[in-house]
Amino acid sequence: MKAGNRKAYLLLGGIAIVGLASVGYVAHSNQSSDSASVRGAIGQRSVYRDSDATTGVDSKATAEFERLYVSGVFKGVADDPQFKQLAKNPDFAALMQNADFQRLVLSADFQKLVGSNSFEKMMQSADFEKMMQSADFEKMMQSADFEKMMQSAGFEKMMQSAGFEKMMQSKEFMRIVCSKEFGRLFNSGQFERVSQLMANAKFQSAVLQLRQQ
Amino acid sequence: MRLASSFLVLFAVAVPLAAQLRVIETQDLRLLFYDPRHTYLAPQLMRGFENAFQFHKRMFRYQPSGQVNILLEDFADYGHGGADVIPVNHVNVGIGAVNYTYETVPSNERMTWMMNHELAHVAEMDGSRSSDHFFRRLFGLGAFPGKVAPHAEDPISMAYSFLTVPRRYAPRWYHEGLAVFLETWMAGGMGRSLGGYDEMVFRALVRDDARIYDLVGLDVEGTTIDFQVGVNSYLYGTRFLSWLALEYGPEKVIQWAASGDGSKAYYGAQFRHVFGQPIAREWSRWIEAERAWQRENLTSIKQYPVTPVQRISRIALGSVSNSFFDESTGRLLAAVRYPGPMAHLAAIDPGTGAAHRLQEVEGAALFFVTSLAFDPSGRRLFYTTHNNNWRDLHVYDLNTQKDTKLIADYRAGDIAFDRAAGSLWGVRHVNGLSIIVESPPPYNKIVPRHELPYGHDLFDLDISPDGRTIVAMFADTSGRQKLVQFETGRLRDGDASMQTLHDFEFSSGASFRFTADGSQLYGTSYFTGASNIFRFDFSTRAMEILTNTETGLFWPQMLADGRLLAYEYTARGFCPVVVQAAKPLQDVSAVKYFGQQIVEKYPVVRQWKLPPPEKIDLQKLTTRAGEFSTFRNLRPYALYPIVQGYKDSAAAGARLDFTDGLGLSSLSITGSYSPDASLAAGERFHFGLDLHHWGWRVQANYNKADFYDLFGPTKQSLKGFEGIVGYRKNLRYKAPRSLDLDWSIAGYAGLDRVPDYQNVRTPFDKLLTARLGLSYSNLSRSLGAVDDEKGYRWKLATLGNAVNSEFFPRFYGLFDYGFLTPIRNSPIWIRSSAGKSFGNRLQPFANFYFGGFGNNYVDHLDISRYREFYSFPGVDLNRIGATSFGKTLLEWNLPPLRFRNFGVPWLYCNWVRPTVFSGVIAGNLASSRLQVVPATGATYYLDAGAQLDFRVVISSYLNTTFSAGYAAAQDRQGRRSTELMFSIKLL
Repeated sequence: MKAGNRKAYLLLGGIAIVGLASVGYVAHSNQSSDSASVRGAIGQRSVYRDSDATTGVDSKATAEFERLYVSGVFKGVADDPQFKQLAKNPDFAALMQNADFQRLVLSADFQKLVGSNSFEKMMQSADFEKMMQSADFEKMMQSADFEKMMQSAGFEKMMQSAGFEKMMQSKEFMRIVCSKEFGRLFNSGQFERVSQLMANAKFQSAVLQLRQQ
Repeated sequence: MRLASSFLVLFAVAVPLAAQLRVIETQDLRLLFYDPRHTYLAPQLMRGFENAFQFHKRMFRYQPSGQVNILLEDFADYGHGGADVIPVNHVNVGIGAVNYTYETVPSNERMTWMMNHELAHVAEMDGSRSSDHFFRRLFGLGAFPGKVAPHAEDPISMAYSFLTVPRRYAPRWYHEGLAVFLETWMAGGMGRSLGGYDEMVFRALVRDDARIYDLVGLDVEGTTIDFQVGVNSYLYGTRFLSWLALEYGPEKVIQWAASGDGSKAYYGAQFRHVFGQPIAREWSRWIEAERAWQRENLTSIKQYPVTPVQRISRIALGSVSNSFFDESTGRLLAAVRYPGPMAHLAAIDPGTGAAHRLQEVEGAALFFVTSLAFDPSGRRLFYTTHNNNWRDLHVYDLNTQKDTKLIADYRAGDIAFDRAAGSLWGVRHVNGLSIIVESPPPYNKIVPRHELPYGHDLFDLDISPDGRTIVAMFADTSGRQKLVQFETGRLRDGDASMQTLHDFEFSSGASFRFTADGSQLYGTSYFTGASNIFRFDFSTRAMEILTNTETGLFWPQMLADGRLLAYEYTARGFCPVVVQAAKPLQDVSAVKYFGQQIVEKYPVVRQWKLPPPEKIDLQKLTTRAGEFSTFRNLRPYALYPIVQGYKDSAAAGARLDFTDGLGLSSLSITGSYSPDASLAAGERFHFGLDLHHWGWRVQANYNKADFYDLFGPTKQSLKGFEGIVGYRKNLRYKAPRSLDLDWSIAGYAGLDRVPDYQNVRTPFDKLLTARLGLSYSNLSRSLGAVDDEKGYRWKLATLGNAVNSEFFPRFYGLFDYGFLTPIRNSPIWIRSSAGKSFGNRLQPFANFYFGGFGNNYVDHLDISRYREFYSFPGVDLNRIGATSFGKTLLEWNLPPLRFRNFGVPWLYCNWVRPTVFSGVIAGNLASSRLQVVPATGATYYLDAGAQLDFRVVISSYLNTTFSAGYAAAQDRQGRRSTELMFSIKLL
């Protein structure tokens, strides 16, 4: 055996001995105390913590709440007994299934309308006739869009249905239609689509669909 | 758990009638809110609700009796909650950030945490079994919820209430212990079952060889005269239930609280049913186990040298705020709250331990008393008042001893004084958000510097001596905490970037404060399990531990002379100490937590952790939304039989109660019939209607009957028709201060007696009365009080009687003033009143009438009726008539004697309190029995008497007071009369 090799073996052996001794010492040390936390170091409390609670709450944005609220308002309207009667009308139900109508319902303008204070106040109003006589409503009635809608065949058909008549008598529907916000909405481009939708025979079934959801 | 009685008052003040409540509903939830700025929290709360409610339904086999009404509110700066199940399930959620002091409430995201906790109450109290279900159907006629609320005016309702919701009448420690136990595991261990403060409290009790309360002692003393008051219910309940879980398994604890057939109605019977032992025996076993556990923990701590401390106060100070060393006087300045005096700012001499009272702190917080900051150069203490509501900012000048209110509704705390800029920094809690604010001199405005995202909070602020840096503890929605640093200059420029100095993760840190040279921070952390003092060095960025304490050290501050001051927790509260610790330690034992054993022995509790709520589809769950009118939502909830008294006859009938679910509107209708043949046929039917809508009240009675008239001697029954419309408005309310306006108009027909004066006949049967009153009260009580002990109240009132085309106006005023004597819980009161009526004194409607104690043999009104201006013990009821009078009463309430262990858990004696009093009434007085005799000029009556009140508690919540009184009176001519009074007050 060469001297160089011997030295290498001795070095390796020494390293092995020191390594084994270190492992043994560490192992022995760990066994000799209750835990690493109580000897030779600062013991950290051992407490079960599995808290991963996170929140995506944005205090500035209430979009999710508004969506829920609007959805809740509509579901509440759909619970109205008169509305339920109306919803049995197949034409009405079909209209309510219309995708454009549903988009409208979820539109920001419409949500703003439903969530507005004025709307809430309007919801309290008991006198539809009075509202009908208001200037805003009058303005809406005289608008070209409204006229266009009124002349459509679909609208006429709907108007003649018993279900629609009942809906028109329901307080909630009347209040929506007679609000200032609705008037503004009507005069906006958005309402052009509304008038088309209202002329659509599927309007009613969409309401029914919402109810069933 | 229970909704605070002041809740409705707060609501009435904070929310004008015109402001509409809105609601969003799911099948199980009716979430109400009054402020659009709170709606951002609604989805988070709704998800937390669904998650927790499904869990509780599963765990308790719980079938809800109806929706849970939840009100989002911001009536206080710190988060809080309350729940009850009568008459319907309801919870109120205070949306503010929680308080982090001493790690008393470890929690993660607070809407989730609140739902986990409060819905545990709802589920365990509302849950029914066949027996209570039967009574609910009986009193609800199968159509209403049928859970009867106890009404003092019809005390038989107490029995019905117990039959329909028996679990509600369990002790508070049971309710809170269960809710805390569950909240911990539902949040993956983030709860008080694994909290450092809870562990410390019991470790200190054992170290100091103090008494651990037994079942009765806990309610009698533990929650009244101990500095932790009601929190002891949480502490003890949690420990006992944790021990039960460890001993018998967590499922057994759930079984104890579960509903459904096979379970027992009363919590004590169910305990025996589940555990096979009476509670008292197991409670004793727990105390033995607790002592053994804590002895072992103390031994473990002592494996390494315990850091010596030198106490510098003669007494433990109960709760304490952070403190400051006033170099100019060598005194320690702090706010303290302990049994005896009112909470106050104090200057403590470290040499002698003598404490000098500087200024009372109105509205002290339970644990931290007040938020305190010190301006050393100006020698001013800034502090907050009304710490349990919306805080005000005050300053106390140590030089002039003058106290000044700086900012009303400051709503900020954790204040710190910036010596460089002279400004005051703090953290404001508004609409559920935390905002760093600065108030420059003269401290009359609040400048917001940075609004933190929801769920993030800062506390324990300190400013570096050069004013360039703010350090604070930062907490997030997971419950993790970090020591962070801001640059004040950047904050002022809108840059809120913060630097983390040390991440404590789940080991709460607290109150890190700069040394005089600004190079180090001294603070505390529960890193080892006990709250030890740590030091952060800016040059090395190292966090080092300096102490090994047996209990806990808090609020450390390194003085310029090298002394380290802190507060040590003891069994009697916090005690200021000098800590002998200068060098970092290498060896400190970890403290074991009792609750940790549960999770190690029963890993099932890990599975109780709730799934992430984000997955819940609220769109699908939402069923309705819109406006909410409390009046239009009045619904009947219970119909039950009652008995009443009418004059000297008994009547039987029924009562129908309505509620809006919030308590803002309520209606009750009663009807009864007296079969007594001696009564005229027209007087045998009795009808009553009582409607309350926010501040309004409408009452209508026909042959008004009253339960307590069955017992006399005071009679409330009234022949004929009575109709009252009234309104009460809190013009100002900030507990304990309240300014109220009250008016009413009442019409009567068919009368035979003067209303309110049963012994005074009326020659006319019709009467119209109008009342208007303005009153103010500012009354407070110290720890251990059974009654108001200090303050004042006044009332100015006018009343006009219109009868037979004649009008009889009158005015009167009251002023009460009380102060504490050096004897603990023993105040003296001076109560004065005066009045003037402008009618002909020969007319009964023109007179004031006085006389008697006024208590009925069985009663539900105030036990201390001798205080009322119309009382005059020693002479008969209504005996003295006058058109002008002045009256003074001197009253001394002696200290109450508390019974530590006199009774059983469901029926025990609480306290007995003697009172002595003496009064004088002067004016143009005459005996009302001799009304035809005109006034003979000014005269007077004197009286003196004593009353002994003896409080008994039934089923934890039904307070009953036995009173006995004796008084003697004498008129100017020396004619004497005496009166003996016995009374039992229900509820």
